[in-house]
Amino acid sequence: MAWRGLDILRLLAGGPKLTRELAEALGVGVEGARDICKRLAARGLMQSVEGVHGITEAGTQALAGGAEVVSGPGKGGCAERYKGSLRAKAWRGFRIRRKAGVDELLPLALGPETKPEAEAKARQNLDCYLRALTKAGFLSELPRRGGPARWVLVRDSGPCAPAWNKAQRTVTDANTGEVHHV
Amino acid sequence: MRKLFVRTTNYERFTAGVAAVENRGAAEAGMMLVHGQPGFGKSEVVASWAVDTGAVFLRANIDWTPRYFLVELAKALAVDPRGSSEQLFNRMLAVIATQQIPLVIDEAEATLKNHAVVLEKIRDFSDRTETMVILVGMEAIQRNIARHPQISSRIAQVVEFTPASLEDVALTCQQLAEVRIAPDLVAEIHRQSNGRMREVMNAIATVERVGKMNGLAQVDVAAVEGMSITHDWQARRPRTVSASGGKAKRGA
Repeated sequence: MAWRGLDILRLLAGGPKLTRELAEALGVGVEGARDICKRLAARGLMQSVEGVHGITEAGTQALAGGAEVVSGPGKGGCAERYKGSLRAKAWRGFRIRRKAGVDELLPLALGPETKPEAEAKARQNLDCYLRALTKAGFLSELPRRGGPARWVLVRDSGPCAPAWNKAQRTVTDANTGEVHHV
Repeated sequence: MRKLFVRTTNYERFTAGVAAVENRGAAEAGMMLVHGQPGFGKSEVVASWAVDTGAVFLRANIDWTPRYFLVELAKALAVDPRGSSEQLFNRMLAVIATQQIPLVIDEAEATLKNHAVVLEKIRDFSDRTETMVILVGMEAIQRNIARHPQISSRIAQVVEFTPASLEDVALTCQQLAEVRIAPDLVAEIHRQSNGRMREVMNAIATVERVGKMNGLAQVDVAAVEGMSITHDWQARRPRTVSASGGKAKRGA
């Protein structure tokens, strides 16, 4: 079943409502409605006070603009989403190696069954990530000696990998909560 | 050359050792020793495992003192490194025990200085939190640790890294090389490298370059005969490929 976030915003545009009222109107369980409300509130599209939900200015604009409200991770809302992600593994690899290039990090992050196309994408992804970390002051590029780019870790803020959000141009450090605009 | 992690027999033995420590009978025997000559891939395998599991990986320094070690560990765990050693120890004990973070100490020989005071501190963490500690060192480390029975009795598994087998070299060539390497050349790489993975990687890069430059679908001994694919560091000269050399060795 499709996510009902937009339906809830439409209902709230008519005035504040209780979770039970939303659940009845949508034909879903109270728990389901509460979960959707929580996600909408996390995106700033609605707010809840003592069980009463109301649409926010951002929610009204999203509704008026016909923006598609879909489920899924919010942009930059979570600093390190998956501990097993390519970037999280690359960050842990950097903390071990202290100095590395993409070629040295890839074997730490990719398994033997990785297909060549996936490896090429991972290479591009890591290159982009490492350059963002450099701009945010976590890494410093070493002088090139005829080979590919290599970096040194200059700010080891902790075990959680800083998250690079390309769309927002931000690097969020989950260890300190700092957001770097790059 | 592709950049992937190849699961060699050393890796298989290492993971079997880890599984055995995890399923140990005596809770306090949570340490594992990994040793072997340089170039057999100890650090690569253990670093890959640490990245996968989120283990703390520290490289021991020759001038480590218990306090220096505690500060390094605190930085790795993102724990406040200020305060007395006791405060620091207790602060980290709480983090390690609750999150069950394994600890890897590379170049562990450096922890054996001054009657192994640093290794005693590491043992304290293992004893009190029951988390796994992996010590990585050269061949002599097992003998040196045996002089400290209170530590060696905590070592549940010892994994020795041995030279890569012909099958390991064949698997590495197959998974990493972007040109096909013929079995005779795989055998020659194995012979020249003496099973040292660093040498194997260098040889694959050279063979691949030759194959691509000459547009070869498969590279065999004949294609690289007379060329240098590895370096003999003891004799300080490159080793050249020779079809007869390979055959003589295999026949021996």
